[in-house]
Amino acid sequence: MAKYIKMILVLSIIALTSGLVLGGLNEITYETAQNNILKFKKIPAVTSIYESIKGTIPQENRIKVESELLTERKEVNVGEESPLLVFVIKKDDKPYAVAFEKFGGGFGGDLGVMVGYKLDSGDIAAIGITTMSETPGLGTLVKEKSFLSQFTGLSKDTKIMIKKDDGDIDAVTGATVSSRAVTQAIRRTKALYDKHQGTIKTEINQ
Amino acid sequence: MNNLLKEFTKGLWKEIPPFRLVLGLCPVLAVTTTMENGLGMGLSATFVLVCSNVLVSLFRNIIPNEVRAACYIVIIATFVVCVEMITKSYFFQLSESLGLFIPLIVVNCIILGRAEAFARKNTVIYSLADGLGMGLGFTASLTFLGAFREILGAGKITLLFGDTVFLAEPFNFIQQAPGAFMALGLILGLMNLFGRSA
Repeated sequence: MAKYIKMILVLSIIALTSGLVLGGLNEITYETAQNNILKFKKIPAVTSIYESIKGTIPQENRIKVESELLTERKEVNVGEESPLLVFVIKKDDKPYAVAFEKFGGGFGGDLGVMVGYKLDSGDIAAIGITTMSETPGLGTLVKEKSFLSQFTGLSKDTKIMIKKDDGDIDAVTGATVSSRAVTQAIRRTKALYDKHQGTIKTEINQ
Repeated sequence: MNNLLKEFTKGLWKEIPPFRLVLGLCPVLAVTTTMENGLGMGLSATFVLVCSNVLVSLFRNIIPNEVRAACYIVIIATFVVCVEMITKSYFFQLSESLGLFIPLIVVNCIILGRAEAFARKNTVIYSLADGLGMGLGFTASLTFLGAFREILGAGKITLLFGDTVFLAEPFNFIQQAPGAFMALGLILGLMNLFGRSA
């Protein structure tokens, strides 16, 4: 009997200590990790949307624009678990477009797409890829300009599906699943935007 | 002292993990597309290996024999998650390129293998030497294989020489998965060729 108690006790103590250590470390590193995702994944995507609205940013201005975009973000409650992070892109000092991120099911896991919507018309301004783990050389090609540029200025009535699924979007050859994931993510942002654009607009005008 | 040195150096050549023991091949093949990835993966695994070796050895008289595997895995997993959190916060680019292979260090058979075969029978200081030697041997192998594949497959070594291109028309093949087997096989063959007489 004592043998079993010892077994249970030792394993429990080890597991408990492990949990405590990891909890503590998570507490320390969580914020930095989230900031990294924001800085290295989301902001570059928002910047590319910004560029397709206002033209290429000169190299010397890039850092300034990026930090500006970083501060122009709002958390909007859309009735989901966590508030939606909305980036605001301004033109002539007025909000011109909003961008937010949704995920589609890619070949190697979730594929994140940042989609920018023009506030006046509801058309897509442009999109950018945030996180993905697709096959290098095939699925990763959805990050190329040649694929992404077809979404620039897309009317809100466009059927955002790849041509194989009777939509209007050219898929990347050899990367049907990844292309589908991108369209799926866009459709998710669209559903959200259609439903909550009122809330988003009031929130960002405050 | 001599023994201690022997435990340390055996991992560096005589029992160098991927090439001599042919162990832990999953990360060896998958992440060595560039030298930087190889080095990052090697150092992460070394950290886990050294820490788990020390702890397993420290508690070797307390951990009951029947649940030792479970205890080792919990200890190893803890350090792996630590590495994952730290790379995600402070070495973001590296964690992006290594991706899933950092959590997979948990099932790297070198680490559990050293805990089972060495650390649970030896004192802390010897286990430390063993872990350090094996880890550095693993790191050296991965770094070398990464450099080999990067220079042939991409024509450059970003970590050492930046964007200087050495091969104008690289063999992209060697950076892809089948190329990993070819590169590993070549190195293994060469090591056997020259290592046998020594």
